[in-house]
Amino acid sequence: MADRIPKIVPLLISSLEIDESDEKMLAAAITYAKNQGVNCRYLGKGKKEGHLVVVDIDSDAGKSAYESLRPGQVKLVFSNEKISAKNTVSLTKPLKTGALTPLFLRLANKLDNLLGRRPPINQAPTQTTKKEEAPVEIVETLFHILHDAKKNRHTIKASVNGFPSLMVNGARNLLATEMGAEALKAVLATPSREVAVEHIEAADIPATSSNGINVSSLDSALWMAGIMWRPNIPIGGCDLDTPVRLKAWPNFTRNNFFSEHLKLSAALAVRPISLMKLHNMTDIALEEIICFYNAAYTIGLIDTNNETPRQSENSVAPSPPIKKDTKRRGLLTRLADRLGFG
Amino acid sequence: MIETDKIIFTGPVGAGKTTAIAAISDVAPVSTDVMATDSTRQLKNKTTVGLDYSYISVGNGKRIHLYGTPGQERFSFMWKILSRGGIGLVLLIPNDHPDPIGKMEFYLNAFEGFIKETGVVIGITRVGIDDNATLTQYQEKLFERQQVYPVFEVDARSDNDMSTLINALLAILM
Repeated sequence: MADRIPKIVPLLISSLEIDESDEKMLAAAITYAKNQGVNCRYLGKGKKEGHLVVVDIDSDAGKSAYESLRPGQVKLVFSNEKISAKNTVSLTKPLKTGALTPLFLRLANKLDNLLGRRPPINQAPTQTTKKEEAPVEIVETLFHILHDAKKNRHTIKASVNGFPSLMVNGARNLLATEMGAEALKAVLATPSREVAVEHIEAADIPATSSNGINVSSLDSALWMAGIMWRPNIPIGGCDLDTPVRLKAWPNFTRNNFFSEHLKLSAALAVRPISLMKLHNMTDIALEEIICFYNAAYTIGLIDTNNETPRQSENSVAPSPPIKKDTKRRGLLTRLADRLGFG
Repeated sequence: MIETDKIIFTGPVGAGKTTAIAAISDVAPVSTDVMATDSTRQLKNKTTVGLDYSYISVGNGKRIHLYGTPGQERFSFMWKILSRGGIGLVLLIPNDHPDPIGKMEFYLNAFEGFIKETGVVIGITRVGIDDNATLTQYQEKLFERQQVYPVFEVDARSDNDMSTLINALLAILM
């Protein structure tokens, strides 16, 4: 199947609207969980992109922060009242270390195991066992099937009930289907187990659009699927601290993109930067950065050889005078606003 | 020409510089097009021998000036003068040129100093007409030169495409 998710990526935890003393208690619980072998990492306060998000919902800001989280995110809620909602675990205030720590450990351990990164906690995890852990079982989708076809240069027909089929020539980077762009967007997230795949001959796939069949670049579909698929985990053996860089900019005029993608490309085209550092540098949500990385990786734009410095790394002064000019920077910002990308 | 808040559009004859400037500017560009009498005539009837000029207003009376260089290489002496103090470079390469990759390299070399001081974005125009290279080939050439610059397929008539190109330039500069 497609790339397995790297096992070294930690369970990401973030918090919203919790006060200082609760954050200290949370930090202690995270430390305890780490000591118990849970591979987790605290992203900090005010960040929404954790696999597990801790929220105090007793204020209006807290309620609104909770509501802004994705349905699929697991939430640990601090509140004066017990809350019952999907993917939400509630802890009644006032918080006590004796209650928070074991609850947090159970939750973190369960999530960590769901992501398949470590053995159950009662197996006394060690560095050795962590390296021998089982493969990750994150739900794979049609996106992964298409990525596989491209990577292995396969020619396949993929069918999802209720939709026209997709014919893919991985070697020629072609995708042929009767589906329009919107239907394609919808179908790309279909779990792999619901997709019927058969190998076909390259000659069965038309080279140009005709008779209602649209022939387009497979990379465009992979890019679109990559930026939509939100596993919060980078694919292709990368962890959040490994420096990565771009081999080439994505073809933004022919693919969907967000304005953040321009900033990310500009940063990653010059020198290797880890995704976590990029997040800290740009203040772009880690989730968006990971989606961008995954999309770029899938269409072969990530440079895995980070050893060779680029001309731009060597020859451009660290901060050319023009880039330090704040007046001009203001002007450039206004131009970006004027062009609709501010 | 002495204005400093300017973006320079360059590229060979027929790349679409005048069209690209027209696509994103506030007013129709002032061009110095004349009837072509040299080998350019094989490519188009009129060609820019001086320069193109227009601007984008960004509020408070401020403008970003857009200058297009003449395409003929015999006017290359003007390129340096024109680009002095500029913000960045938009290089347009027509994909139906007999050697589009070679042309890209030629312009990257010609504007090397300016690019180092500022930044460059590359728009591949006339794609799908008589293609002589793929986007991947441009990307590979840039990678080989260790210059990972933005290179996009563009329609010089499209304000969307040209805005995306300019915004990529801004992303580099900011």
